[in-house]
Amino acid sequence: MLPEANVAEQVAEHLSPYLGPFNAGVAVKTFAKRTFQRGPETLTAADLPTLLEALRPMLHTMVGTASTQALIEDIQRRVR
Amino acid sequence: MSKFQRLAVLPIAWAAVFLALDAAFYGGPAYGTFVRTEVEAAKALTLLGSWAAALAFEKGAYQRRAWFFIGGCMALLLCRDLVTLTPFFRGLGAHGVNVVAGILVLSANVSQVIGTWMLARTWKVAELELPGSRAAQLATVGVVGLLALACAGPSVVVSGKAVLAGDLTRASGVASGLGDMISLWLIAPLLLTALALRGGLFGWPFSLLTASYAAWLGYDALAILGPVMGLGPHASRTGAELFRALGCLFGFSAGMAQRAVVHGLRALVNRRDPTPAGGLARGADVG
Repeated sequence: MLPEANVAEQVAEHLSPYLGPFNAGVAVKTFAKRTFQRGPETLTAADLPTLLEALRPMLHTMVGTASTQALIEDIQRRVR
Repeated sequence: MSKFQRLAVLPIAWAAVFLALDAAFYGGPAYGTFVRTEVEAAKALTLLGSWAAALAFEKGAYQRRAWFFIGGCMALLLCRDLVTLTPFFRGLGAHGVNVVAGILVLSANVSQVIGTWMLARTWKVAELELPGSRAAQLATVGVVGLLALACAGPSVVVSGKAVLAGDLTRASGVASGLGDMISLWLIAPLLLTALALRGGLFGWPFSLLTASYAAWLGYDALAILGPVMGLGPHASRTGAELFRALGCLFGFSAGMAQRAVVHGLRALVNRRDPTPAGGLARGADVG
């Protein structure tokens, strides 16, 4: 049985259809390190809202406020 | 075929239809009207696509301003055509028409450069990572810069010499050439952004915009290479209009793709599709 993906991996997976696999992974890693000063693999479900808030300005530049909010809510709903 | 794929195919289909109709109309009394109609329709579509993208964003959004500037270029060029090609402004006299047209072309190029600059900086504003090493990125910028200089530079020199000799009506040619050169050079960051976002929906507008500017590069290159290649007047004109059509239509497609991405995501609020991104990620019709 495959190990369950951690929170950062799940977020990257959900961002991948939009940012592409390259930038989805890099973005989650970069913003996780900048926000929490620790590796993305250490993030838990409790860190998810803070991580998504850190990603918000980037998404806002790409698709605006309402679409960013929709995407963040969608990810929040799906990540376990 | 997804909406985004259809938007990518549309300019090619338009170009194919243009070539077929060009061959059918060539030599007939309606040929001039056909070409002019095609040119104005292509410009109007670019304006429509760009402003459709701009209006998809909320007020104050970074890309909203950028897309308004991109569309502003075509709006001003359409105004220039209105001034020079219709009888409404003949009261201004030939010199007056030239001055107004020159101001409109200058403004159009400023608008284009600002809009392109903003979109080319999106990756930096969004703090995205560009692919490849720093050296590879600089090499891309350098190669594209040289291509832009080679394609748009000669027209700047020719028009610039005429202006220095006292022909101020050629000032718009200098502005147009400089605007082209800067915009074409900005293909490099647009291309790198498209590559960085490859495989993702956010990459579609940048890929299509890069294709648009590549076509404009071809448009300028043809003006230089056409005589070298021994192209006759009709082949040169058709080639130029073909590249113009591709430049305009890929611009339209880029704008519509951007709008589709923004609106598609917004629709997620009211959707509970069990697949990630509620079907948008599959490129479904959502715009």
